[in-house]
Amino acid sequence: MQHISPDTNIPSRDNLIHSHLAYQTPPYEVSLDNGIKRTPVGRKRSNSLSDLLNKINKLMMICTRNFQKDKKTNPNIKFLTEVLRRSKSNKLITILSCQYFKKIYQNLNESNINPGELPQFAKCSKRIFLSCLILSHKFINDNTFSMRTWSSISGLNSKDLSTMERWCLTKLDYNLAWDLNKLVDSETDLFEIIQPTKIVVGKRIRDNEIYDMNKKTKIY
Amino acid sequence: MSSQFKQLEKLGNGTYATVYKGLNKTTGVYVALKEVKLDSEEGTPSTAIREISLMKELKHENIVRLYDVIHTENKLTLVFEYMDNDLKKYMDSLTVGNSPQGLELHLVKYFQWQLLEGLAFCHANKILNRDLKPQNLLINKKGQLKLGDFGLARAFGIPVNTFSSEVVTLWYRAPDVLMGSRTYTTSIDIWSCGCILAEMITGKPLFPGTNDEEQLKLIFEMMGMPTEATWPGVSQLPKYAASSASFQQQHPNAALQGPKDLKELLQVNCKEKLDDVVINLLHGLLQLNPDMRLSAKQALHHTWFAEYYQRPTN
Repeated sequence: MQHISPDTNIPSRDNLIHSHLAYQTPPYEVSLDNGIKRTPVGRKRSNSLSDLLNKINKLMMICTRNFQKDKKTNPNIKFLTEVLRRSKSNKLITILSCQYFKKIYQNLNESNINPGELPQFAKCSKRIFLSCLILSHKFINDNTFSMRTWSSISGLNSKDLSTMERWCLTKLDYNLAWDLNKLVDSETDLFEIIQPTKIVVGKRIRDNEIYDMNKKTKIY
Repeated sequence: MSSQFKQLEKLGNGTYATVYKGLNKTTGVYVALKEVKLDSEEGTPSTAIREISLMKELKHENIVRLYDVIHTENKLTLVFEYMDNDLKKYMDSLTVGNSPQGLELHLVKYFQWQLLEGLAFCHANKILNRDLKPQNLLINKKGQLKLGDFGLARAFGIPVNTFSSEVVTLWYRAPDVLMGSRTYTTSIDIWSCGCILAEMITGKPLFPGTNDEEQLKLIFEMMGMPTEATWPGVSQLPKYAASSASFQQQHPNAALQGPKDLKELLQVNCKEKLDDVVINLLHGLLQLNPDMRLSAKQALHHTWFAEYYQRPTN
């Protein structure tokens, strides 16, 4: 197995480092040379994808409500859109990340841990989701991104990403192996906590589909 | 290192780690400590992540047990069940002068049975090992054999575009993988089992190639060159055309020759008389066409193992 870099146009690390925002996890706006600001998100998305992102957003908020101070209603959509696009994540990887995320916070809630005892990053749902996404990529893909690439994707430095990854692995007790055949079908159970009633799923996204919001088309 | 374990002598270097013998100071039980040096900016290697998460699921008497994981910023230590030896070192220890010696056939059968039992359990749990070879088969003085390295393992049953063809040590790599297939499944491990069976019989690796091209050449020389008639779809494999052309150039008449007599070839390096039953099993494991290879479960029901599965249970 090896680490590779993605072949999509991820903003260079320098751009991110020299930007005025300290924490550059998307969403953010990239200033181009001609002064036009390119907003990488907010384009028209398919209903099914939009539906999925909304559900993940709600899952993130509900799971972390005991740990986060910031309780905005819609803080994660742009982050999710960007990070999934940049990392070329398909539905399988995304759902697996959600399972890891949910499991981590379930364990924390069940342990009745005092939020004050948690490391600062553990109170940020975006950082933990990103760490879960890294683990999901490593578990599913034979060729995975290096931490340097994840650093470019997220704007966070490699050392912090490594620390967060290790923390998540420990909280998951290294239980990353899920029955992958049943994973996408487990979506209803995954989001049960946000919609106790039956979930109406729109057009089914193919398991192997890679999100590419910019092109409005799907890459297989 | 947790103070619970005392580090003893080095046992060897794995694919991405160093393995030491260790002593659990609390219980007095020996363990194997697999240490992975971590770069604080590189994160945890996916090999280690896969090995830990998959081996936690695999609790079987023919798979080495993962007891514990100690994870710090700079080092990851996997605490495994200790085994006395590995099959490669054991076979090497039997060499007389420069002549490798095969194992006694009753031991070959017992080891092969255990190998297939462990592998069948992996496959039933939807896990591919992808690195079966004598070095990774651990043995002890009781004659037990256990699968011992899952650094290249992965879960299967998911889209194949996430699979790599850079798997399995060359000598034990299946022809479909050598020709660039990424749609492989459990049959990838079965080919390795066939190579290991032949190696236990003779003491010599069956296909000791030095590169992909030579590896395929050695396989085709012994098993025959596959065609669309014998293996539908083979011509669609990425490297089939090149390997076929190269082979036919070197062996103009090879296409007309059938596979060689495996029994005759192995008998030269085996002191005991080989029967047709073990050769039949070997052919079942070493089918060029992956769809034609036996499954681990089918192999366990082969007549050669009748003395195990027909043994009275009382």
